[in-house]
Amino acid sequence: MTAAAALLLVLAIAAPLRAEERLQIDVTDPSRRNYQIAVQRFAGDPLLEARFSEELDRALTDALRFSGLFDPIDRGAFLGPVETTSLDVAIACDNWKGIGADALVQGRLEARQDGGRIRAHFRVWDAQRCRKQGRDAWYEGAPDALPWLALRIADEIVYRFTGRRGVAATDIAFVSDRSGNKEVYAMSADGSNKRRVTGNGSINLFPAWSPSGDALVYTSYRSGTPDLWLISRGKRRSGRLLGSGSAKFRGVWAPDDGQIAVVMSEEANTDIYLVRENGRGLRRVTFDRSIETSPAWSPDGKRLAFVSDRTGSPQIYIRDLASGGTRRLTYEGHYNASPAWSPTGEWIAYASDRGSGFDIFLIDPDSGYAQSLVRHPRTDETPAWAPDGRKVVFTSNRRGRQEIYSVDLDGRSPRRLTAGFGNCSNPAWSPWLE
Amino acid sequence: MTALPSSPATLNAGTLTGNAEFRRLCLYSGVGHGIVVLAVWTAGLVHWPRPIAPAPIFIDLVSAAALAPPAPPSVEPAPPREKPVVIPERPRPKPKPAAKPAPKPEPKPERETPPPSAEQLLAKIRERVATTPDATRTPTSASSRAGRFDPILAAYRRRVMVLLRNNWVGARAFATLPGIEVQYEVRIDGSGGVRSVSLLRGSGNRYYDESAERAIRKTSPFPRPPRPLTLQLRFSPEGVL
Repeated sequence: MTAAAALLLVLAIAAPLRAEERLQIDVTDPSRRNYQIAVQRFAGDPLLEARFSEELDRALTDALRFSGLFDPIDRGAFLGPVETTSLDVAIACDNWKGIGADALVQGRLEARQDGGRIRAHFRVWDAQRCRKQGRDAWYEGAPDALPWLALRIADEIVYRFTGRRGVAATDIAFVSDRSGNKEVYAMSADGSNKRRVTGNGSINLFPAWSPSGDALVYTSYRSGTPDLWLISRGKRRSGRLLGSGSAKFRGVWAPDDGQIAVVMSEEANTDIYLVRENGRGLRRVTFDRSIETSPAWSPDGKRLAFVSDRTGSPQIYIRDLASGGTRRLTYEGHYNASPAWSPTGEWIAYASDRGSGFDIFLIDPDSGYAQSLVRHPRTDETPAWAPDGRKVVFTSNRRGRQEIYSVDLDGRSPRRLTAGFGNCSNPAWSPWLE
Repeated sequence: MTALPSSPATLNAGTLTGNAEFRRLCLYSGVGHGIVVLAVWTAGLVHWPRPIAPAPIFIDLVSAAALAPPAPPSVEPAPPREKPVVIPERPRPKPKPAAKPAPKPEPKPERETPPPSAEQLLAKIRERVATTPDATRTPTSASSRAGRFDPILAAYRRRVMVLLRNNWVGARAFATLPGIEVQYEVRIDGSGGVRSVSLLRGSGNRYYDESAERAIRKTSPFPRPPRPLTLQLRFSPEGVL
């Protein structure tokens, strides 16, 4: 009896000692640091000049930095090879972990037999978990498209670590006066690869992308009065959108259903109209006697944000297109302009003058809660969103000239995208391009 | 100097030296002092298990864990048994710049330079508690298992949380996904090596889950725990943006 009791007692004491203890830990407020990424120089091809590897390397490293999620590691710190020797050889993870790398990129270039194209093979490693992050893949293009292949690779790497594709290989259309008059230009989102879109010697303004990124609508004074023109890089028809007559100041493509919101003056009253992209079906959306301008579509295409001075000062309003209901969104600031609805729908970016010049703000379209995104003593204006909703471009004259800058949604990674390119304005970020 | 011997007290003592009354007083005084000393001693002995107050133990054990000296016998058998499991899974790179952070300097001086004069007795008792064999400490550990606040574990939790937070990079990418959360279970051995990592509850976004797992891998080996533990880690990116 006593022996049994003693045994029980011993068990009771021993049991909790044997069971392994659990400790619950909540990890919040993660570090703001970026992934440290080691990028090996891609192995060349005997049939290709060495400069191709270097060109791709420069563009890839830069595009990764632009992502705002990766910090490329200086090659001087590498313990492993700085150049991919072969994709058939396994890597020594410890060498990469040892220098604090979270990720490793390897690759090689291959000269294709067919038409002198170049194929860039790449492999992405998760160095911390010591496994491949996704499958081996490649992009292919003409030699002069090599930087663009690098941007695609960078965007794919971003995808493999975040589940959302990067935006380096998208385009930003903008207006520059570098030729002496205002023309529309386009550049890659990281500021590289600038090229001219219009060259009519007139005044060209407000480029806006079609939902698939295959065309731009812009305002041009080439025929004397301001009109809307389309320019296409695909099969779409280029030319004037609506017949001449009334002044049309700006067109903004709807997200999906082929409509364009148009700012047009009829009988000295500026209002917002909708028209189909073939120029038919024009209908008026705002009817106030004041000036209504700067339309911005919600991502679902059901609402329009716009600017109206109906209360005396320019403020942002939202109109529900189905019900026709309109409500005022902004109350702070004596001049609020250029609304831009984020692709995720949760913010409207806009320029607000609260007494110290224009700055970029974000406002929740439902609650009206606003917070500043970019503040600078000089003027910051005309924001536009990247297709992933993580970056905003805007125009600023902080360095004298008007130039285009990008910034992450948390205010970090500011970057000047135009330098020595005249006065630049009206940035418009394309959707993802195929 | 010459004034001292001629002071009244010295004179009186001199005249009383051969006196029986004086010897009696001396005896009383001796016995009285003896009782007082004994009382102090006894008091000390009676109280000594009690001063297992959180502060001194806490400081001593943390430093002990960091410096890795005498492990309690109950923990000791564990490492050799588990090490073979650890080594194949986590081969350590040779040049690890971010070596083990060892917060050794702070606690030690506190114990070795006890507060002077007035608190000398208390300090002595503290020291004795700190250097007592492990048997006396086991009750504290056991009590934590019963769900009571355990300062050692609290310190350990805090330390691991900060390491994981610092090693959790790239989480900015998920700032636009409010309420997202992932839970991992990590079993660690007595030396901090990771024995297993398993996903307890995924967030539904595998890229997010992977970012948290990377933080765990990067933190490995974990700081040496007070005893082998199973960590249940919950990652949520609140605080970003």
